Amino acid sequence: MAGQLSLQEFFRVEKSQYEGPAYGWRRWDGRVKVVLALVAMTANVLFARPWLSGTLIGLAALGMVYSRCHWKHILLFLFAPGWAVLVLVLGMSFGFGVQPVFRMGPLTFYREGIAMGLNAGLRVATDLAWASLLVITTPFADILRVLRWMRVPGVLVDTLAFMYRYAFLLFDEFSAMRNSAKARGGLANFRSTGRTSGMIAGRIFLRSYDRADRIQMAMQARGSESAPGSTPPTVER
Amino acid sequence: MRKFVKDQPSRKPLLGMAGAFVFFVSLMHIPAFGGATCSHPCGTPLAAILLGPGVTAGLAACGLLLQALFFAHGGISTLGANTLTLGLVGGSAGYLTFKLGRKLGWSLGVSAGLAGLVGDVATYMLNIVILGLHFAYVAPHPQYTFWGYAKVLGLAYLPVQGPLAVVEMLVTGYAIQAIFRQRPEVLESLGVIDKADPKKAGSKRAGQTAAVLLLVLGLCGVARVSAADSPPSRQPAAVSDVVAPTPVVTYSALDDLTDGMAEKAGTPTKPYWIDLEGYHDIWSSLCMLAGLAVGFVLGRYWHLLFIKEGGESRVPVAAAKSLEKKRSRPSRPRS
Repeated sequence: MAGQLSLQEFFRVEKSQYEGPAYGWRRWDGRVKVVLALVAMTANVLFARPWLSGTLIGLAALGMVYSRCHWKHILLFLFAPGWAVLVLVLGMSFGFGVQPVFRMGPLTFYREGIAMGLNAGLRVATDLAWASLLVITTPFADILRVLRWMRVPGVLVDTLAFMYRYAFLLFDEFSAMRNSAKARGGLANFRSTGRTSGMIAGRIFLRSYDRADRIQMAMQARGSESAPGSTPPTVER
Repeated sequence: MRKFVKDQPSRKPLLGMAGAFVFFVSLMHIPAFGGATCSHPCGTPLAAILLGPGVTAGLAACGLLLQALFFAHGGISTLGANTLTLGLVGGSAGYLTFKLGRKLGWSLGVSAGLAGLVGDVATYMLNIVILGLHFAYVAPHPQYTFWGYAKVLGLAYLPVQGPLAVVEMLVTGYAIQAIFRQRPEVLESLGVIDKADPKKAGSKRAGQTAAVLLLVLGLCGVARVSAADSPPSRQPAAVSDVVAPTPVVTYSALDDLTDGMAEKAGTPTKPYWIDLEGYHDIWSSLCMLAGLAVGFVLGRYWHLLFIKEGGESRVPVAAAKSLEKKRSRPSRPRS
């Protein structure tokens, strides 16, 4: 799952939202989209009916097509969690139930377990599909603005904004350091991999610490007193 | 998090950067099952050591939300449970282990490494407990009891999370050590180490404490095994059983043979000192591994316990004499 959805891949998805004209769901107000997604996910978990989950997945897929998202992104976001869902379905199939359906070695698969697993898998897939619909049709800055509008504590929103802003940067630094260490033979075995990764993590923390100091100084130079409200500005399309 | 920002308003960007750091650490891919899939370190024990457990729980919640939205990791509906296990319990367990290690006088790297290990294991233990309780008492048609589900889930977690816990230990230990070596003032400003005497923990004391702890643990394990109740089949047979006609008995192992001979002779058999059959394979393997670990540590560090520093020479007498002889030999002139 993680091997397919990487930060770089997500960066491309985010970038594509600012390119070209906006269609379908992308033109809607961020507040409507976030509230609709929350309602869909809550109803999916609370009612736990397969027909409802199936309908909601269909609606999410339609929303993506309606918004003219790239077909690669649609497939990636809809099918990437499939591996985890499969593990869940299989695990429940032999973990619960009364009526055996078939036996595979020491494992017996039960009718009730399979039904429960499929139901749970469908719910997971539905939640992920709606989260994906929200994320690939709404820039993250808009989502942050909606969170602020929903009175989510400012510290949390600002932290989310910082995390989103700097996670890509830290990951790039980590990749460069890791490639460099690999070229020097620093990832030769299990122990050296742990040691090198630890040293890189320490180095990245120090860089983050220094960067945080510089950001603070820059904010103060611009008249900020570290008050909440530092959500990124709106990007005009 | 609010308290952190209120106490130190100038540290607000640090909070965000630390959040990005936790998010990034939890995205590091660690291959599992020989590369068939991958897993991710928790990162929360490291963050808890640096920023405290309360702040870490908030940062973990933010990181999990981003992961659920961007990468389909964790999930939206399980956000609360994940925050509880990963952020609150994992971070707090790691933090407390680190503090305990420092109080015991262990070195910075050892304390941080153990904090990473304990934080990771605590996270997954709580996951097992939550899932086991749910499956056994809430979900319909359960196949096992709580302990049964706990064993199954533990076995399912072990191949991936076992090596991952070791990786987390190495990464956390080396990361804190690297920060200390490069910029100790950063750890001082975050309150991780004491400003007055950052190097107060000595490696000798750490080795002694670790050896004693392992010794106690190993002895507890041996005592637990030896105090085991004997299974019913080891009890002396009743007279009626001996008199009754029995078919030809085949013996599968030496123990069965001696049992059978004792039974025929009418002598009661003693229960086994270490009853491997009475316990399951996992417990026996764990005892064996614990014994190996204790033996290895004692063999390697016994001198820390019994020989005083600056006392007698640790080099054996014969080796010392030969070394002396070699040193006193005149060196050949080079042409």
